[in-house]
Amino acid sequence: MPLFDIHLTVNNIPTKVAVRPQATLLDVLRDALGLMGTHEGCRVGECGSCTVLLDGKAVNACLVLAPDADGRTITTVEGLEQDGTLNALQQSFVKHGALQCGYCTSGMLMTATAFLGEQNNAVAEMQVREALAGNLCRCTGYTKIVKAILAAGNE
Amino acid sequence: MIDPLQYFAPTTLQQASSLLVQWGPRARMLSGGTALLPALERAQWSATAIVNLKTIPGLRELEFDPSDGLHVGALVTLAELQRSPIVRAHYPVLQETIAYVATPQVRNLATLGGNLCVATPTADLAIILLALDARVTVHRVGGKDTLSLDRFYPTWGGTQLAQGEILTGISIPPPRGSARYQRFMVRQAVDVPLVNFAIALEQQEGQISHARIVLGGSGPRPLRMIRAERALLGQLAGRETFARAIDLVIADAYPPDDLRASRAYRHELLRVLLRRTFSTFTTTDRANASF
Repeated sequence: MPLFDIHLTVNNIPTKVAVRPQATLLDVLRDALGLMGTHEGCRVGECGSCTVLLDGKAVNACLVLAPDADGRTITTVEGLEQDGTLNALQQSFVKHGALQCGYCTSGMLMTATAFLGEQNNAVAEMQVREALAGNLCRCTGYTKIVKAILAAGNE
Repeated sequence: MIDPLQYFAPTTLQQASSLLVQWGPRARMLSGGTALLPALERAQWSATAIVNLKTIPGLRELEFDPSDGLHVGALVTLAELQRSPIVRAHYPVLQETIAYVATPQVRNLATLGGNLCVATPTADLAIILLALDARVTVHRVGGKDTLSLDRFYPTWGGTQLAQGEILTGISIPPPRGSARYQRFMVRQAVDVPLVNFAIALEQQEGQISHARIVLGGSGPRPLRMIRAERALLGQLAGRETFARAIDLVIADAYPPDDLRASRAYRHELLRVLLRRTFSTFTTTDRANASF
């Protein structure tokens, strides 16, 4: 089966990758580019742990066929740090204890990044909870995650 | 893991159509991918060729004309529809309905055309769009055809699309009266509804001049409750008229009896939710629509 050359901009770095046509964007990020921060959970678009930004919008990387991502811009959790330190949202997660096992955390961070980027006004708790409808966490019960996002959005 | 496959990125409908004919039933169309990729991953569907429709230009229009209604290209995503000021202004019920579909991440990828072609019997958007008398445009060899969404869905399930045919757009006529979508689920998000339905009613001088009742999950496709619709026409909008219509819906509805809920429970749920939803048509207080 022939490989496809696709061009991606991942965390501001232009990249050319040869992909199998049946690979997903999740496979490309983890296996070809070694970006293990994007976690594989259900592989069917239900758990949100593989959430990345595709042209600025939060999507499940497992639902994007790799050849279909050609020419697009992707941000993963590795792209959030600024000058080697955690950004404000990441620090808020640390401060509020918004993670236990950490499996869902990168997906939560990417969903929250997209959500907060769209807000012009103060953020309400219900909005945060609706924004997180596609991210499962089986440890925390969500309370501290919601608090961390609210704090980052309203500071 | 998805089986190896051929990938095609056609740039015209004709090319896409030819590829679909050439590869036959083992070819699958890709639009949002949110149904296709999980189905391949779970080996529920098989494919040896993927034909990407997103490389075809001109299927992303979103236009409203007061006399003509709304035209939506098949590749418009659910998130684009949900955020559209046009949709918010003229079809608020459509915006409310989209909020129920899947997750924010999935709505950023999923397209309206793809959503309608998956043709799930409980599909939120198929149900509300049937209630709004939507029509679909289909690309065929030798031209295009426009048919009602009601005809697009055969009684036995699935769609009317033959191999090589592609849904290119959805048209919704100008709003008549007002419409509601109602859905009950155990979880607050990402769940299969136990009961869902849409109602559209237009009243002229207190009399019902137009009625649509569409019920999900009660057969291989969302179903129009024709007897109940007819019972409403020409009647005064009010508790007695609605009660008669509800009895007819209950008589005609045959919801599943499965691990999620019994048929008897779903019937009871349906009766209560229909009563609540109908009651919102006789008052201007939309807040009564929720529960």
